[in-house]
Amino acid sequence: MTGSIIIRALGVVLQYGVLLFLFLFVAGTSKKLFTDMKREKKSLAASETGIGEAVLEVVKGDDELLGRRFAFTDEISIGRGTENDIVISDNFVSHHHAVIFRTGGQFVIEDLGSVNPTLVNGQTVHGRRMLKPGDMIQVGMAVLKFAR
Amino acid sequence: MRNIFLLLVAALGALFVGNGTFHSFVLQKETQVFLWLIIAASVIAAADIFLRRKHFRDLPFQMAVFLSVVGIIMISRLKAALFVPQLRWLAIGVCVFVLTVCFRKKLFRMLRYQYILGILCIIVLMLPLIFGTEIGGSRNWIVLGPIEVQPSEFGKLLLIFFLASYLSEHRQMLSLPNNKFLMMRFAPIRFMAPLLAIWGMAILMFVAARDLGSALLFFGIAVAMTYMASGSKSYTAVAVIAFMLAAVLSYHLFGHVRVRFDIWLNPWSDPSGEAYQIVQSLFAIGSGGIWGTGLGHGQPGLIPEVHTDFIFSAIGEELGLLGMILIMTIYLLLFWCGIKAALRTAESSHALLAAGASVILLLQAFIIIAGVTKFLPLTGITLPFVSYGGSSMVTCYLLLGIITSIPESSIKKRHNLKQND
Repeated sequence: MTGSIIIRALGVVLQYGVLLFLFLFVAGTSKKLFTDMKREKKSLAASETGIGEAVLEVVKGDDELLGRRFAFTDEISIGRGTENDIVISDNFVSHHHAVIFRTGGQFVIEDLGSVNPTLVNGQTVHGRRMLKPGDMIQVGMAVLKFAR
Repeated sequence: MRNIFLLLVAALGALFVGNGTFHSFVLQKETQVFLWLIIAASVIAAADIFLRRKHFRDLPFQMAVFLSVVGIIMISRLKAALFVPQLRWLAIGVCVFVLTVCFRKKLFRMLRYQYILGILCIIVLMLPLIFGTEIGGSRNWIVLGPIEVQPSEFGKLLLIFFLASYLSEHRQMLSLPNNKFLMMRFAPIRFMAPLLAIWGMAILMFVAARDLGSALLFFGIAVAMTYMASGSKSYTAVAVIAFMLAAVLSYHLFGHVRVRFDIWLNPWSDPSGEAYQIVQSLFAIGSGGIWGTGLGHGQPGLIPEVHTDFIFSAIGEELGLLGMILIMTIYLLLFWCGIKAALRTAESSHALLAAGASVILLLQAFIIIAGVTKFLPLTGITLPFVSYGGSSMVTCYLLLGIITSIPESSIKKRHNLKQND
């Protein structure tokens, strides 16, 4: 008599155990997916200025440009012409003023024969010059901060 | 994985204690049952170890195995004789999954031959119209001696391969349209022709082969993939309008379509005749309530075809509203995983392939769940991973293999891709 009661009780427990397992699985899986998503979001945010990418931030200039950040990986051009990546409408800036590009792991700025000089940390760029993080690049009246 | 095996053991234990037919079945075929249980379990465990060794994401696989285990539990309760065959199909399905992941590079190379894929797809879909045999009211089976194949199951694989390669190559053409028509923009007609052919095929299947479920599925995949590739709502709008027109026309022209539709609107006009299936399904779901009657304590045997198309009603009766919601959540999570895999890859044809595979799995689940709960007119297709059936099991695991093996590009590369767009 008690044996059959135990067996029936076991049956009931196992039946609702199925529902419980279903619930546990769904909860566990969604938790895994959500933590995965959060981690991915973080790593994506961290990679905004990740390896191999450089950023130019406008720290001085007219209102249109001030505070803007330009991220690039291989090359970025600066000048008055609208075909440039960074357009500075300023009479002291040449049509094609300067270009920054990557050689190996380094970034190099090249003055494209502008009428008014390109300055890095106050020094005139003759031809090419290596850039290091934190350098201030002055083009006309605008100042761009180089960062990696 | 451990949880899934525990679930299987608990459920089979519950059935063994509570269900007379299963009890006697196990005692009769003891060796076969245990042999196949061990084979299936070891194949799954091996696949799990394989995925971990090769650093693939194993979450989609775990979800699929979980759904299959729920299916096996329900089948062992509904038709104990199909318990062993279903275990065998599960083992074969998992093997196909592992093979797909192993030979992923060869599989993706198929994407280069887009027109061959398109023509093959149409041939496979035409086969049952010519050589088909009618089983269960729709002419979509081919019988080759002892083997019964449902070509539309494999047709949908070819379809997503064709659409992925075709759409990714002509993406620019489709998303930069230059023909204006009724305020909507379209690409030149020669770029649309293959798509129109696929849409036409779907409607033809709908009418000639009486295979409403596959027709809806094919049409849905084509529309969803076109939208995902081009980002243009015009195509979707036109497709939906065309489908509506076809539906209205076939309602007036063909008797079997009219019967289906009338049953859906009012099943109570003929509850013991034409509408018997759907009425029994509704009774089953209704008697389940929120918590269900408990595994082995319902009467789902009254529904015809309960082990294939109507397995979801049986889940509704015995595991209740909660069980149904949990199962549907798993399909959604699986879809989410698939779409995430698609977003992680850099190449558009791979992304479309993964997205298409996930759309198939979700759409198929939606169509049949909506059908048995009378949300949409009832159409006979299988519930992916859960229903009894070989063709369905194998194709579903193949689709899962595609989702799992989509190559992952680094975050960096993806980031650049987004900027260039």
